[in-house]
Amino acid sequence: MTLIPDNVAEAVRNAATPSIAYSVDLQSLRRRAARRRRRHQAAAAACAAALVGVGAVTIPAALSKEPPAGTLPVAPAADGVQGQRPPAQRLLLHGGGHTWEIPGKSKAGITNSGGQAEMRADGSVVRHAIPGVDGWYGAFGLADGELVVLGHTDLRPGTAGEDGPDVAGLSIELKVLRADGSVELTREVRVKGEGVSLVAADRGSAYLVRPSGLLSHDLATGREEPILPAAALTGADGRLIDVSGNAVAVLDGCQVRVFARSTGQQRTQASLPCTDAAQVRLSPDGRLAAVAYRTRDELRITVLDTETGASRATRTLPTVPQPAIVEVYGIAWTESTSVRVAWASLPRDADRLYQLEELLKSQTVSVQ
Amino acid sequence: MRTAERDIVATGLDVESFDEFYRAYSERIYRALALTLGNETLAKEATDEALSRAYARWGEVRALDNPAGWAYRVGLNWATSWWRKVRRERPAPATGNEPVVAGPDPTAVAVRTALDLLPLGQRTVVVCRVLLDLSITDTAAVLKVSEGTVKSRLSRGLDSLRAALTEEE
Repeated sequence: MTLIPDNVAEAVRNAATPSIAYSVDLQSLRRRAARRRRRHQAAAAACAAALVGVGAVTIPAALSKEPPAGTLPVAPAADGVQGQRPPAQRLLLHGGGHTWEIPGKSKAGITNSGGQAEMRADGSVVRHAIPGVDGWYGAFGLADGELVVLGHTDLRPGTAGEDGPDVAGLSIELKVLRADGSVELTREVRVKGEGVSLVAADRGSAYLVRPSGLLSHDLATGREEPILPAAALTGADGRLIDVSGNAVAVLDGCQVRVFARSTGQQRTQASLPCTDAAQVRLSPDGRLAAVAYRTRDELRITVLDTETGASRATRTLPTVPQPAIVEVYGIAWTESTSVRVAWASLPRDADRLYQLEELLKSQTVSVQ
Repeated sequence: MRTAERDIVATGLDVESFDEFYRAYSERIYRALALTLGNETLAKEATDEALSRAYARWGEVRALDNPAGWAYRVGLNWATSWWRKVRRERPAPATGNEPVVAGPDPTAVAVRTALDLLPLGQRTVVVCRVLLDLSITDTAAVLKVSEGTVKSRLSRGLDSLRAALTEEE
């Protein structure tokens, strides 16, 4: 056995005294855990996108049968048929693959793989291939069928490089994909040394979070205008920020803050009786905000008035008893006063991997 | 019941057990990662990430032989992975609250320099054995290498550190 001399061990311990003490409160740690679950989905989706891309090359005949190109229809979700009118907002599904090892067996949990998933009005789920990127940080659907995506590409795969904000060989592009999956716009938006995230999009603009704060990015010209400073934000997760009409909603723990987009001034703030707020989505006119959140025992969605902060409706969403996983995958307004939420729950005794579509549920909540 | 407690109870975990683990090992894991990575800011972020993963999977992690070793490895993998390179596009915000402390003594600087010059494999073994107090067997399990590899890396790493100490004296 190799013995470690006392003087060497002591010297190593002394050398290991950092100049910065480690300190993070447990609440921050738990919030980080929640954010990590969401990032995990993005990474899994990135791998899935690459696989879909490979599939398109190797089996073009199979994909060419699918109308429209670029989407991969899958089994209908568990919820029933909705109205036939096109929804005001599209319900893209963002959320985790969650897996764990079962001793002596394979993995169990939920996977969300195969491209960017979207629940359609009839409850079916389609998956969109995102071409030309290794993965993506966010994707938002426009009413005309287009997708706005922030994708990243390693330009020098397999090449070791210097880590850090100035890492070389990394491209971060904003893409607009047409309904048929073809690329309408690709624009490099990376600023070396800075992070960038896509948190929302509409017909003319993508909404990005950079170190300076929330910005609108004109899709036609690339011009960027500030909306909110970084101090008003709690992160860069698209599920915690939304922009619509003259409103910007920001989730901060169990607090919902609404700002006027035109002035950047906080308009209202509401507190939720929650353990974890999962996602916020503003109505198309920005007058209502739907927030999905967890309590100790329940998953709920509530609709808030963005002028007053008052609750207009709250519903409990059914989950399996004592779930191991409860995840909200998307919220979208089907009309100006009706909002649809999609979620999945998995029991603790699950003994296999479930594809998201097997577990996905949805419910529509209307307010007067 | 506090919010965090409710959250953990809802997922069937043991909040007291995780809190105890956090209090007992978070600083040690951070020190180990800081020494291994040679970058305290990155080490802090890696520690945050590792502990958040431990929290999220505490039901499984607490059953492991060495949860601290697991967290160290998770933090190390995260900090050195390609995905981390992409994630690091988002720089950590400066808090401005970092304490001002005295610099390390010359011997510590010499050892730290010697550690920085060690190949990563040797450095991780030294850190696991000295800072995390892992046995040869546990170190091998945490780093997923053979015990023979641990012994040889440790031996070479210690030789370099002894030489650095001798020069300093």
